[in-house]
Amino acid sequence: MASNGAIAATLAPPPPPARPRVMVVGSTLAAAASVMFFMGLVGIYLALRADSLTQGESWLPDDAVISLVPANMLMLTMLISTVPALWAVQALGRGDRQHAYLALGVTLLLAVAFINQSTYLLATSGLTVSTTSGLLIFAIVGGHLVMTVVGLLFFAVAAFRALSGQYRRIADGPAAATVYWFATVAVFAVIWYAVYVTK
Amino acid sequence: MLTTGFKHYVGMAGAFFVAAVVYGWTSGAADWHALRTMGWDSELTEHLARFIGSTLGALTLGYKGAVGDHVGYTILLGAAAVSLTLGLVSVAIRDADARSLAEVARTPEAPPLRLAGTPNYWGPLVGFSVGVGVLGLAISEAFFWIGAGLFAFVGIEWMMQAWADRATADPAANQALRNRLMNPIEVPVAGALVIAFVVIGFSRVLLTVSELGSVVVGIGVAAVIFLVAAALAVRPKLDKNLVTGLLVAFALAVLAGGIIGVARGEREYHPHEPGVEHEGESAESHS
Amino acid sequence: MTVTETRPESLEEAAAAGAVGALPSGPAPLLPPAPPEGFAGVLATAEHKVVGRLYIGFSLLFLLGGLVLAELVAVEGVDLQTLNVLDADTYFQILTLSQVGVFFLGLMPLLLGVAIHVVPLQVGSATIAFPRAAAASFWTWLVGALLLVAGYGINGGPGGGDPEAVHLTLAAWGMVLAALLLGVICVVTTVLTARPEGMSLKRAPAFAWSMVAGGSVWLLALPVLGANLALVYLDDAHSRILFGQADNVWPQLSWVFASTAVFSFAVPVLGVAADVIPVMAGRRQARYPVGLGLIAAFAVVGFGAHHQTFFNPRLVEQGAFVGASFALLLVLLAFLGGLGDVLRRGRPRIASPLMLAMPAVLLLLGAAAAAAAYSVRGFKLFGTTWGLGVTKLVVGAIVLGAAAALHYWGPKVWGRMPAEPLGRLNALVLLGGAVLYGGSDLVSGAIGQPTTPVTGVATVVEDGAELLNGLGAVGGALLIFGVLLLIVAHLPAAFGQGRRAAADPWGGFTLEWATASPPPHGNFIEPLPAIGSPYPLLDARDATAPAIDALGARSEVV
Repeated sequence: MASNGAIAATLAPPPPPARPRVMVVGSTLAAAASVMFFMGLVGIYLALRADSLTQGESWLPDDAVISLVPANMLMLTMLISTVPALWAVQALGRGDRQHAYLALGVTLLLAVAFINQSTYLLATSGLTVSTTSGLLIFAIVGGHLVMTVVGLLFFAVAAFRALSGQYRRIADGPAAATVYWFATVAVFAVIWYAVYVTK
Repeated sequence: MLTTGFKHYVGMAGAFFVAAVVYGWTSGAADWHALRTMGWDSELTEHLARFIGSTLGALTLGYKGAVGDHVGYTILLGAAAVSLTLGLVSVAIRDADARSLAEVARTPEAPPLRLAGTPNYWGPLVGFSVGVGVLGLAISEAFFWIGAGLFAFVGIEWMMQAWADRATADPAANQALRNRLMNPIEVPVAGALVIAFVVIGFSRVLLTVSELGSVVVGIGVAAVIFLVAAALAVRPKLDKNLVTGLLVAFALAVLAGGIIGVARGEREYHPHEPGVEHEGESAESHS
Repeated sequence: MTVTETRPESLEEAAAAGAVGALPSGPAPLLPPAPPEGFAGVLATAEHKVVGRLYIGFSLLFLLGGLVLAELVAVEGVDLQTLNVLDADTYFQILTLSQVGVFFLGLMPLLLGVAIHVVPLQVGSATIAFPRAAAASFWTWLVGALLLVAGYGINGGPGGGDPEAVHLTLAAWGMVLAALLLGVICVVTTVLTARPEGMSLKRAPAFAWSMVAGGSVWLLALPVLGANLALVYLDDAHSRILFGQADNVWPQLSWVFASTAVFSFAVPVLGVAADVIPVMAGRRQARYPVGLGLIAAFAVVGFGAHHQTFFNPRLVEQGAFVGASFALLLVLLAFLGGLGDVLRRGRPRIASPLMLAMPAVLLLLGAAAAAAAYSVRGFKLFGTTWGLGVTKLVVGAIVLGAAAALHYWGPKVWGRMPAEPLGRLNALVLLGGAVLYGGSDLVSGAIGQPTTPVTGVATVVEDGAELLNGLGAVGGALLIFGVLLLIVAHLPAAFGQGRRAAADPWGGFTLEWATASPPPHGNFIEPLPAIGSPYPLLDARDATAPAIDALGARSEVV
């Protein structure tokens, strides 16, 4: 059975060309919805923080620590990750598979590094969900971690299919993953400013 | 040339941006308190400061001055930014008009959308796995992670199916290729997931029903599993609709069990502790 | 072929690689194996037409259930000083479930179901984009809907007494939302990427375009509701500091059922009307792109995710809200003017799609006018039942619009003709029901009757308010009867009974009528006609029977 499958696939005719851009458009729409989810959360965060400050209260609990240096590193990691993501799409478009593999690998590595850093920062922040600010930060940062994992998996799928030779000339899958990844980076930029910088 | 899609989405972006500015401005609450503390204490200047503060805040994304309702303002600005991005994507792909797609695909005509490949059950299983996860959010973390695990498994299966469907133009060859890769993985993983379902789901049921009920349920479920397995062993080529119906019944039973678990909660039970003798247990029974 | 090998991308490459046996003797097989027959086939299929039918069938049942629950609430309003049918604990739960049920389990999936079936046909595509995702969307929605209802059934939902059941309903609502948005992505992507040569977006059929315009706004607005749900769930599950406090839950979520957000659900109704009315009148719509632009404008103004009174209680006093409310009215007036022009120039056929579509738009106009009045501070309508009346009128308009869609595309969806006399009766019943249902609340609000508190017992009862509520309950009953009639009219056709439908029973203008009813696997067997306008089939007819006037009269086909 196993060898039959391999032989049949080797001898079978190539598939008809796929309609381009479908994945990219679908991914853009999904990214749009994801971004708006965070806009809702961040809007509420900003509103309640403003209310709290207007009333002369401190927004974050006294024992909470949100360091800016690791947050900046997170932002930097995200920004850097956009370069190999684009590199992968370009390389696949040129049919340069070696560079495509390398670029996809680097993107995945940076995504994993981001998840690691972000989780650590949240775990050591001293925040709990028993305060409004803590709850909102957990919702926003936790939600973004989920979005990052989705983006990571999207890239992994694109990488797998590129590895199996399905994106040549038209790198729709990696391009779609890149669009989603850029949305992930954009959302983090908003979070970085609203939560980490201005706190 | 600007495409229709671009005009539509950029028009949306413009409308949302204007709405954000107007909303941020009219929902008031400018940062005029700060300005007043600078010595502007007459009523006129107060209003003026408020006006300037609101206007600046709405126009500068709150960088100077202030906006009123941050929730609405942020949402509208987000909608504007997202719409602008959709517009840029639209124009970048020329609205995905058929002619431009044909050029991209380097074919005389734009290739049609691909029909779904080999029929499979991943769609319903996505619904089921998310449902189990949602039940887990109400009942227990274990149930949630089971749902998440099933969702991940279904996701991988779906991805592999999608990949295989595009491997060649021959559906039979594609299916053979998929089976060759996935069968060694999916059989043990699916088996483990089903066992986890039965064990965890079953334990929830046993924790919910009375002590006598748990005995009845235990025997009943064991009998059902035995009978189904026996039927499958005797007639390995059962009607596909029947097998599917049984699986759906199993899925519904899991969901219904979860809902009952939510409704009734766990009964109070007293685990055996070493050295403690419970009511009805004679000293002899331990000997 | 191993996983890491690069497969050949063309027949030439395959031959060059030595896979001579790979060269097919004919065209590459495009059709994958058909799904198995019966129940297993329904579960396994990713055929957009089956998924659309499933969405339509189940959402009609949920809609009926939601309207029945809303009727229970309406009946309680006949005597505002006491509760007669429900008890105080369940009144609020029934109220919230009826709204969630009508919109998220009924109306939105009903329109989405029609779109999943019809839109790929309208754009001449063999299938929907991401067909498996569309199937997953339906099954996820169905499981979510069942969990949502079950959660309410075990004392959950906003105001529920069982914390775990409340968590279940909140999470299930989020699941329903995500599933619907997945389906919307499939439909919008289809319109944006699967159009044939010559069909620019300006020439897209109106219903398909309305799904792009409305779907895009849903994708922007409804995730914000998802954010609200997430916060409510997290807080409710942990500390109930703010978002999860019992009194705060519904006010954070109910913005989606209030003006202006509620109008976004009605965007596809405009698309239905803009497709149905020209066909029924036998005339092209003049300045077609302007009509599409008005649909898009309506969608944008209907984006109401920022109108959250929980965070901005003074919302209705503010200029942005007033502007948006009046903009809705102006856009609808312009849109209706265009449709009126088509009817004026044509010879309208009095058939059920027209009898349902036109009142749908008129009701929507009434709702928009009421919403505009609501926003005027001097009228002092805020806090009265007027706002509820706006929502109910929108519900009526969407029910009428969805019924119009089903009667118009029913022959294509089922392959059989739905019962036309029932359709006409349906139009009268639904219109009468919707006017009474929403209108009674408007009049009640105008005389100053405040919205009934969550306990179901009013502290202020204006003279005549209870009588008006009685009329509203009659309207609600008529709406239920109308939905039942709709189901009865389509049930035989759905099960293969009744007269066989011709490929083009209405003399349609758009591509879905260029294929058999029901369409075969792959949708189109014959090549599509050339597309040089929004009405390719009319163009084809005009090519054989030249147009009478500059805007192209329909030839004698109809």
